[in-house]
Amino acid sequence: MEISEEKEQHYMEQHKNTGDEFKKIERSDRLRRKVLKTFTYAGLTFWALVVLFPFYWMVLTSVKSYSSYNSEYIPKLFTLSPTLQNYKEAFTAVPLAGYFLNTVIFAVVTTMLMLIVTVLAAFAFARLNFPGKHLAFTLLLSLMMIPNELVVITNYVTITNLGLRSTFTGLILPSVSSVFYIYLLKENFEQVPDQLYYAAKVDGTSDLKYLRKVLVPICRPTIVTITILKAIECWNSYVWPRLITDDEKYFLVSNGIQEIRENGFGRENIPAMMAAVVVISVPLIVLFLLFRKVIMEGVSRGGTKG
Amino acid sequence: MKVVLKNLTKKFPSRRGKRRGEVTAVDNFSFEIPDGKLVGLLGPSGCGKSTILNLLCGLERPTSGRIFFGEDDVTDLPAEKRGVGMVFQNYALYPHLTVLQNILFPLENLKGAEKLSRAEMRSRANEAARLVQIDELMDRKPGELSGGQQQRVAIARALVKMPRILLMDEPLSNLDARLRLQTREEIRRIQRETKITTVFVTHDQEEAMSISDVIVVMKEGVVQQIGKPQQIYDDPVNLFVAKFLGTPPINVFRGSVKDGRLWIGGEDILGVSGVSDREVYVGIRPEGLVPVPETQSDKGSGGTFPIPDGPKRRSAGKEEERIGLPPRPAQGSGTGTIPMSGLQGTFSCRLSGVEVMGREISVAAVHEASESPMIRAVISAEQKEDLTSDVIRFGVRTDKVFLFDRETERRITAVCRPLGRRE
Ligand SMILES: Nc1ncnc2c1ncn2[C@@H]1O[C@H](COP(=O)(O)OP(=O)(O)OP(=O)(O)O)[C@@H](O)[C@H]1O
Ligand SMILES: [Mg+2]
Repeated sequence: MEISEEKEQHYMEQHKNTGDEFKKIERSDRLRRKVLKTFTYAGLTFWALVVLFPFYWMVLTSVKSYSSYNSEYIPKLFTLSPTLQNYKEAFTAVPLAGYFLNTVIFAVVTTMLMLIVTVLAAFAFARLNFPGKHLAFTLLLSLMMIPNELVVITNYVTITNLGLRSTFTGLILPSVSSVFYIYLLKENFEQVPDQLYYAAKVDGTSDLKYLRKVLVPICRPTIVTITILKAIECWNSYVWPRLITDDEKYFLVSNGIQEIRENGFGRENIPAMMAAVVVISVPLIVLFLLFRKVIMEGVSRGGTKG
Repeated sequence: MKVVLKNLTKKFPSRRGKRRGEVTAVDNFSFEIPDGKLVGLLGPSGCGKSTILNLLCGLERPTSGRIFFGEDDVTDLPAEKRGVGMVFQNYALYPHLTVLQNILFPLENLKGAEKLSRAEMRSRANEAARLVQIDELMDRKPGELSGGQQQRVAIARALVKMPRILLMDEPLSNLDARLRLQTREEIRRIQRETKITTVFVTHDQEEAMSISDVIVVMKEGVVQQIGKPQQIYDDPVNLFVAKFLGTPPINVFRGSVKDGRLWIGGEDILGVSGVSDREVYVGIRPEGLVPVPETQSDKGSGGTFPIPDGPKRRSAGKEEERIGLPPRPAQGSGTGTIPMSGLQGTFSCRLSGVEVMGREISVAAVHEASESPMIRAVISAEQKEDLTSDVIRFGVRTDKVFLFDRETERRITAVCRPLGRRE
């Protein structure tokens, strides 16, 4: 009896000891994690400031008056007399609203057409068998190595020869195909197991129906991502519209910004330009906020699957 | 609908198109599946079962040969026009759709006269789901289901459009034993009621035996035997088929035929006629080995191992055989339940274990001429045998013994009869 009691006591003691030890480890671990967290957040905060500063600068400049902006020898980091004059200026000096509409048309139509072309091409490369498939795809991929600037010149010649200068068709046509997105989507389509294709066939779908009802829904994150990336690309495009249009009727917002900038009294009207930039950025920011989750999903998935 | 396969061959080209590496998955397969029957396609892994299903549903084109559904040649018809239902080996559920949408999918693709109203589709989908007991999971996505549940969704999806032909590729492999049995019965019942011609692939011979009207046993793309389950079990055409069917598997011994007797090891166990003297494999079904009670004389002479030489041993046993062993008046009560008609001969092995499995007792023993390390006999648990001595003697039921050629492994047709009743 006694012996067993002693044993028990001994055991309890030991147990208590290990308990203490455990607590110690736990405490130090918690401390370490706290320190790590602090550093992480400090770093992230710093980075966020760096990234957000240009935006702040943009908004700040857009609310400074033209005269105060020009009188500041060293630009100040704040202003005490904010004004909306620049915004008025931006819309009145040039037909910004019209450009806005043009840009929307351009972006929506281009993105739509690009989507159709990309999805069909990716499907053909991923799933169908036709002679010369590999050659065609290799050629397509090798196009990615040619810098855009070179392509712009040939495109310019082609479109001009077709007599499509200063038309929406001329504006849109060259941006409809995108090699990189076809490649991206093809890779994505190929990751959908073959068995699903077979199952869909047995269930009575045609190739196109399979694409529409199975493949596209499964690859939705990637498709949404490329849609948004393309829309942003369209929204921001400057060189091509500038080259191919000399008619104000077809100007896009990027042309508008340039125009406003050149509109100052002898000097560049930077505040008005910044106001225009703010206005133009808003739709993109809204778009991003709306689809933030899907975009992130698409990007991270594309990342992990390499 | 009747399905006819005519000289079907499928070769898969090797990578880089070298002829050497070509795989013949199905080799000259001819078979007529009778209308409304359930055919079990049975064979070891990689023997071409799935390939045959793929040929039937149109996912693969045969290298040569034709396929007929009824009178129509469908060899060149694409899969989506064949109207078959298929349960894939790996389910192939649509991951972006819920269970309900998965089951609805084939119905939504029906065209023309077959087109259904929304409500009709719903009720058919619900009915199919109820059959496989997944009606409570209708709103889940496949990723949120267990393997067995996914498998049942796949079955429901194949059944829902009431196809002309139903193909199932190991549809029960992922279910637990009880659900498996239940779903098996359910499939059987549905198949009987709807009279859908069905091909059921499995490598579980017990499943094939219990569910099929007709079994096709395959090996490496070649049909070995076609027939009713019992018929194949009772009358296998070669050693492969004999080994493949039955649990526990058939016991195979190296033996020989000499002077009208069948010898295994040093013992002649049966008389045979219709065969010339030669080396053979002897297959004896586990239920064909019936333990024989030890006799006084056996205990004296046969109590040691290795098995004693033939002649001496024989002299002890012969007398009993001649008078019709085993029922000895003294121990008759124990063995009285065995049908004695075909039971003759004796055969000694070293006992190595006895497993009581409820209804049956499985006796494991060792014999030097056996192809496998252990031989098995199954006897009814009601028999109160004394299974304690090292050496166990079996009587052999002649209808459970098959002889196979040593080289070709083909069945040798021979009449076995008990020793001692020589004409
Ligand atoms: N696409 C293919 N290319 C090359 N060989 C193939 C192809 N598909 C199957 N095979 C080969 O054909 C043979 C038969 O394959 P199959 O899938 O029909 O086997 P199975 O009987 O269904 O086996 P399991 O029971 O394991 O499913 C195998 O040897 C396999 O390696
Ligand atoms: Mg298979």
